Amino acid sequence: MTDYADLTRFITEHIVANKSAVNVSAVPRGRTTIVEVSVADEDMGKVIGKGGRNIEAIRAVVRAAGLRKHERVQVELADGGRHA
Amino acid sequence: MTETEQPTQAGQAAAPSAEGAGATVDEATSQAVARLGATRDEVVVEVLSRGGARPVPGEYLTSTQARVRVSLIDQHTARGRQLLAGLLEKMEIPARVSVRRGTSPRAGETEAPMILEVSGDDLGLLIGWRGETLRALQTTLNLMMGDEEAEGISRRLILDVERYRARREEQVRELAQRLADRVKASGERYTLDPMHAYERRIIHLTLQDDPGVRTESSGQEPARRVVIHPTGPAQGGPTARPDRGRGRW
Repeated sequence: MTDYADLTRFITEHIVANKSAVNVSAVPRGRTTIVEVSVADEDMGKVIGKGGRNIEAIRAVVRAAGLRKHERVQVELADGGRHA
Repeated sequence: MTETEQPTQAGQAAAPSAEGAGATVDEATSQAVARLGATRDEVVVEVLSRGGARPVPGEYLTSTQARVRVSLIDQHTARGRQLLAGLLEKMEIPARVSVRRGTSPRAGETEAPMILEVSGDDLGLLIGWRGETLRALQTTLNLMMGDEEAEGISRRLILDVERYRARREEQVRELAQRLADRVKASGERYTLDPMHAYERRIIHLTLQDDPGVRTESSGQEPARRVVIHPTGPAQGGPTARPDRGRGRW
């Protein structure tokens, strides 16, 4: 199985300024793998992007990795409700 | 360097380059890379001639040789290529990343941009519906490169998968020309379906030197469309027929 948490961490660590604050974990939810990502507050804007453009791109890339194995993967950014 | 070293072209960055020839583009590239004393990962390949038909056993066929020029790539592109290869590896998608130079410069630039080209088997999932996954991959890579809008468009890396973008560009250029002919014949403007910014740009560029039409974009993203206006009265001709609907666009 593709290591979706590792893939997501690889992408996120290249984007943020504060690498040590990046936390990624993969948890199964039904037939879907949920990849939970948290980053430092100051990096949130960059990871989300204008209108959510960046986070949507990251989601699409991780989803595409799952498509090959017919696995559903969903990236969720832990945001403490601030960016709902 | 070698006897094949080329004088650099005017307006191009002065990157060392070499030419090679062979039965196929692949063989020609191997020769050129060896002459440059580089590896394939370090060069951009420019195909000078694809070569003719390959000889068929038992028959005589005249075939011209494939010829290529390879040039060392800049550090920024080299890093992008490495990062993209790493990303594909983590995605567990077996693919090669090569570099080619685009065909036309972007607005306000003199040099055509470098394009990172992904090739391999069954890469449709990297392209997605109408190229959506390809665009996501490009956005992600540029984010990882640390290039935000502040650094300007010129450093943005462009991605292609299985020449999807190249084929699509060709389609859009053909569409633009066909519709311009129709607009000139009918004397009526034509509104295209919504398109992405880079596709609209291809339409504008394709028709900018056609005195018979002018183009503009109207509407808000993501429904922004190109409108082709006639600059004179209807010229008539075989394409002057009632609009039969919007077709695919």
